[in-house]
Amino acid sequence: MRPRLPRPALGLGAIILLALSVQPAMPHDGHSPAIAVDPAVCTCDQAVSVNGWCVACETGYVAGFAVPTPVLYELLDPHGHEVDHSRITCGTCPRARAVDGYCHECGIGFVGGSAYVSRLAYLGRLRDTGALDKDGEVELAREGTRLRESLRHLDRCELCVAASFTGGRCPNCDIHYPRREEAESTERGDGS
Amino acid sequence: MMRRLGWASWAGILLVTMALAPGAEAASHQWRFNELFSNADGTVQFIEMKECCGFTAEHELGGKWILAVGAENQFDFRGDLTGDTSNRHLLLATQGFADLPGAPTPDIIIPDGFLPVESETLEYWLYNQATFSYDSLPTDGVTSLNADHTTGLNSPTNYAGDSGSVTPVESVRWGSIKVMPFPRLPRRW
Repeated sequence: MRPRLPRPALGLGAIILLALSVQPAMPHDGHSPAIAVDPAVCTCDQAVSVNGWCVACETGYVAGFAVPTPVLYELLDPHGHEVDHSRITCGTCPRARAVDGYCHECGIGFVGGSAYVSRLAYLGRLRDTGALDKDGEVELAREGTRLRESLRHLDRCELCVAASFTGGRCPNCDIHYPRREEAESTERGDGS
Repeated sequence: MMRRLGWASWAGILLVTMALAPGAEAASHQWRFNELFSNADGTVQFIEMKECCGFTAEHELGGKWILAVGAENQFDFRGDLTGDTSNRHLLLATQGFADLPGAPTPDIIIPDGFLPVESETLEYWLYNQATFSYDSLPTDGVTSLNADHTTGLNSPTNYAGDSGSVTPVESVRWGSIKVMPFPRLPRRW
């Protein structure tokens, strides 16, 4: 008679496999495939919950939005970063950090002491912590719309998608896209 | 009835927690052009970058690039950094710079003339907040251009934190004797 694994062990194994197959932050390392038990298996259901990357679908998730290009996924960078707060030189960032706010000058948002380098990631994290107000929800939805608009450029070039979302130049196509963050910052001034 | 969890259970819980936690991540968003220098013929140049914002893990430069847009000069980073990156500098320089007395050891060697001395825009990958434009670089052999577009005595600093200052004065032949400029000592001496 073959030995049988106890049910709890099987369940635990499944959980470990799931954890390994979902990569919270895959494309930082030169867009190489994440370590996955089976890269052919779609893990989008799990990836969306951790702002991760699904290897099978080549799609990442930021604030719940699908980002099917590793370049833009890396630019939007959904994860929090450790900051040595004693070394922040910007005058606005400490104020933003104190109130889980956003420094428009630096393009950095703070939630729980961690720094988020895109507005979308910042808003998404605020929502995850239950701290996003109604205006924030509206802005998050607007960011999602912008994201979808940018993804239309995917037919032309992956870098165009990134440049059109963040505002800037696509080095492949030499197309300049308007810098929306700068325009918004000028209109709004600094603060959270 | 409560049962004691075995080591495998704890390991599983730990793994799942690690996978699902929104942890701190390494990246490379926060490097900025901090100081640029060139002599007149472009053989002595440096680009000093600096981590702007106190981020401790801006390591992942591999696969990113620096582009001098007008000149179409591109440098591709081939590797990543290690250690705490907050407020640290990264020094890219020509071999002519590296050979000068008083020059801190460059972290990366770039080709001569990478930086045009006339109007140029520098891009760092797709990070538009890093994009830096200038009308011209000082070419007096002493002065560099800073991030705020002011100029001052060149003060290159490398990733290890070694700083110095260079004076790439041409050597002068005096009869049969080759006279070299007096070496300028690093600032921190």
